[in-house]
Amino acid sequence: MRSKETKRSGLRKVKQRGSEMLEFTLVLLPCLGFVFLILNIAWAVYQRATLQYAALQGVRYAVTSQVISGLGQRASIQEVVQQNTFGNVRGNASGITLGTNGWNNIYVNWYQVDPNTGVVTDVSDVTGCSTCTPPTSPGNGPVNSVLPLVEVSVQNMSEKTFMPTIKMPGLGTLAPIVMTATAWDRMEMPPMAANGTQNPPPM
Amino acid sequence: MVEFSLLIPVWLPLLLGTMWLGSAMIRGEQTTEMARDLASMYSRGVDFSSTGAGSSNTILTDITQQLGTVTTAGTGVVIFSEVEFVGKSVCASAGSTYGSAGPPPTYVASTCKNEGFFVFRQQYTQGNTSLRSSNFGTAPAGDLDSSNKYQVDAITTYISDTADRSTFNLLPAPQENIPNTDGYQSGQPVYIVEAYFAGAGQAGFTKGGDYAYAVF
Repeated sequence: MRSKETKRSGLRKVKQRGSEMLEFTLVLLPCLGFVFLILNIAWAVYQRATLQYAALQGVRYAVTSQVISGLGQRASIQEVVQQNTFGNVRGNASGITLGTNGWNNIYVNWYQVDPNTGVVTDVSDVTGCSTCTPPTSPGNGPVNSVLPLVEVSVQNMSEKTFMPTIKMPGLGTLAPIVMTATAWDRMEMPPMAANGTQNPPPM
Repeated sequence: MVEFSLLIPVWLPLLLGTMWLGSAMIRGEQTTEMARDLASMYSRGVDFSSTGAGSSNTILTDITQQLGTVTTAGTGVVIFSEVEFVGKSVCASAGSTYGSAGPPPTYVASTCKNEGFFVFRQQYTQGNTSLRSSNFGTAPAGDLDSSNKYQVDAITTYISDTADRSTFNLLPAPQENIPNTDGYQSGQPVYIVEAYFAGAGQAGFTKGGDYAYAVF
């Protein structure tokens, strides 16, 4: 013969049947939201670090005045940046752009700083002029022995989230994160040629 | 649901902490990279002390724009310092009053008072100077010029004026100036750029700010 207490306990079990599943469902949704949010933050940090690394590698390459065979200097630098983004910047020197994040987001600019006045001039697209006073060299070359600064940047990269985000009614979707990474340095003198003369800076 | 409610006070701080940590990591990385880039350019002769439109200050503004504003009332400050180690050979190069070239070089302790110390050759600050001062000492305020730039060119001054000493100690005492030898030597300049940007101001987050320095 069952006691009164045992009978009450059995009745409670019958009443609460299925509540575990319901509670699990209710808790799972916010938990997954938290997990995805943390993953997305980690992904954003990784992408930002990657872009900064790529810009840094690009500027390291730029100061040496090297070029990739078949490409101009600017395109060579862009190619180096693209190769160091581990796929975050799609596209290549042939102009093939996949998706919205493309080759055209990579910028390379040269600036000449007057050592006396400190005035900065954008010489990115200036062609050489031997008759000018002072004579000017193409963008990456020295003017009166003063080498320009070079800026390599990856701008306005629109990075989508890594994991799905839960769309809350009335809150809309999560906007993509727009990132920019910039690196600067001063150009170095090109290496000496075999005959001991200074190689002209390539363009 | 009760269990979930009990967990929320634990989960929520963890979540917010993750967000703040991610943000701080990005800013820290940006500050470090920026200090490195500036130090590289500073060590190769770029003068960032000029101000006004179209000057080299615009480059500083461009580099720091993602972190804060480098103005007198802004949220960031960048300190440029050039220091030099005064060794016996540096004392000797100032003349017989300060030392003898040897070899080995010797110095006169009563005149070459900064022997064995790093001294400031140049220092200037861009941005909000009230946010932070240099970790490596501050050049004497009395020697600042009209643009708040400290510059000492006379060797007899910086080897004898103890006020010019810096607390920079990240490099060991270099070897004396020996011809045809490699490595950092006494009398060679060391370029330091320090950058500090106040916290991003996220709600509930009282992080003080990001500081980084680079030495070239």
